Amino acid sequence: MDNSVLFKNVIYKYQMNTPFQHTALNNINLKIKAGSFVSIVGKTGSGKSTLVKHINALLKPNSGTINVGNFTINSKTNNKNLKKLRRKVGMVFQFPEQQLFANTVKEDIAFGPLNFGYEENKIPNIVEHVSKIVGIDKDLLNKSPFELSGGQQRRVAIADVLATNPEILILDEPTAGLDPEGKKFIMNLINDLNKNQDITIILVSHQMDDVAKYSDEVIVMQDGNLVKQCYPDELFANTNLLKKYDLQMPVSVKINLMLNERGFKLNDLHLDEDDLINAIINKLKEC
Amino acid sequence: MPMDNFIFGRYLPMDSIIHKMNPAAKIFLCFYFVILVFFANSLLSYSAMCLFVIVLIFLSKSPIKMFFKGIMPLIWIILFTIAIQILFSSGGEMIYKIGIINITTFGIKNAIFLFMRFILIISLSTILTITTDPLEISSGISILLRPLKKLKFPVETFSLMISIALRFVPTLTDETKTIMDAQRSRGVDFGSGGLVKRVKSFIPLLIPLFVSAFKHADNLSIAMESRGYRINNRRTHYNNYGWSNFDTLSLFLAVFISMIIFILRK
Ligand SMILES: Nc1ncnc2c1ncn2[C@@H]1O[C@H](COP(=O)(O)OP(=O)(O)OP(=O)(O)O)[C@@H](O)[C@H]1O
Ligand SMILES: [Mg+2]
Repeated sequence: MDNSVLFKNVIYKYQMNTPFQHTALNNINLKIKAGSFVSIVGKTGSGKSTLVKHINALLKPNSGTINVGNFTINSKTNNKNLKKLRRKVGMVFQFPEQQLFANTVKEDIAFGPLNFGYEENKIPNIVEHVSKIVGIDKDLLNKSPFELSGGQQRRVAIADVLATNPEILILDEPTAGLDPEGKKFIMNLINDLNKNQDITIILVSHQMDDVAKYSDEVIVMQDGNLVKQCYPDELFANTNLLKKYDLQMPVSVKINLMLNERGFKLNDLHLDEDDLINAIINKLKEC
Repeated sequence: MPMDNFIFGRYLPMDSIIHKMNPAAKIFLCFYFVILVFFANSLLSYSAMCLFVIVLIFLSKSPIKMFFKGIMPLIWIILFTIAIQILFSSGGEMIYKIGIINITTFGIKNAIFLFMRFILIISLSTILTITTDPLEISSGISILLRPLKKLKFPVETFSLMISIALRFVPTLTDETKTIMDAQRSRGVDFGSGGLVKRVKSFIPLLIPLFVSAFKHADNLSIAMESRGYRINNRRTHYNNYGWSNFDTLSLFLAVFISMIIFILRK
């Protein structure tokens, strides 16, 4: 089953027909291939969150259609019968720890699978499996989620979503407000899900280092318009584009530029820090 | 910031003389006119009141659509009350009678008045909320409550409570939406299935909302104390709303309108 995501002429306006009407998505066309790691970037307020909420029909377009696998979402999509779609598309919101509510971590993780009708005797296995993936110790499972630290809560919230075994995983700024260690852990986890379990990743992020390092493709939003969809090196190699779209330069690109200025030319642009280090070492060996 | 919160979001920042009025005067007059509506008891006095409210709507430069939006949520209560009036009142000429149902001229007249009374009161309060920023409302209320200080009523604390509550309405509305979206993504169907299932589906919404409200309260109280807030001290305010000639004029106008209503009354 091909689970690609396809937007056709999607328009969305907040607060239609009021004085506050605001066009958040202006005729969006895009395709996200199944199994790919796609990042969505853009200035704050450019419509990234609005865009991704259309993929599991939390918002429905005013006009245009969205296809997710064999699902079609348009302005007339009924609010019922969305369970299958939402089971396929997992969504991790910004500050997802807000969604925790159950008595114990275990119950919180089991909540999604139960809603989606997983058999009850499979639940303990699922809980154990996903808590291992996100790195939650076994003895935390019987604690209240509100007793955990912020970073641990974030992991539980991600486990909540992974527990429903999504084929497409959307993450809206999943590392916001975490310490560097926690950030790295989450990004590695996401990358791992993509590479080893073939889950399509759609990542909304302001962290250009992560975007540059992990994504197969980048989508740039600006004022409700999709202004660019391309490979990360195409975007990050071009300082003018970055300026034009108000995007920060990843550290790896900065180092590249600085080396260039000092006459130390590398052949390719390396967006991954390990690649960059290796390239520098190799170049030094040549000299 | 998204502004579509349902209760107070109706405020429309515009430039009309009603918008510019002193909030305390506006709130006082709004209550005054609502009470005045209850004194109208004849076709003429109701018409005068309607005319006056229409002029006010016009002066406030607010779109008529907003008034329908104010009425719509209450429409069933209004229709129900009217139906009871028409079907079950006695007195006046009998038009139709079957069993306990009793349609009389008196009942119909009362129903019409009742309907107008509802519309007038809703329109008046809508004019207030459309033209007055929530912060202005809370400051207006605290000014109006000031005399209660003599009775040891904690006016300052009370008005601060109101402004904090108003301040957090949009925040909590936003959070409600986010949490609902998150739980929907986890397979919750809000408002479907049997009664028990429906009520149960709100638990994953209410608990996070309470947790977050307590967190906000905690953070806010720490922030306030660290900035020297002491309970029931008299505070100065960031905004001081002036008293203009138009405010004085509007008070005289209120007296004038009351006179008209009392003359047209039966
Ligand atoms: N509920 C709402 N009502 C009205 N306008 C909204 C609402 N939610 C978002 N908007 C507006 O729509 C636009 C796009 O919002 P969106 O949340 O998609 O931006 P974003 O790219 O995710 O920004 P950020 O990086 O800050 O999360 C913004 O201008 C925002 O003000
Ligand atoms: Mg966002």
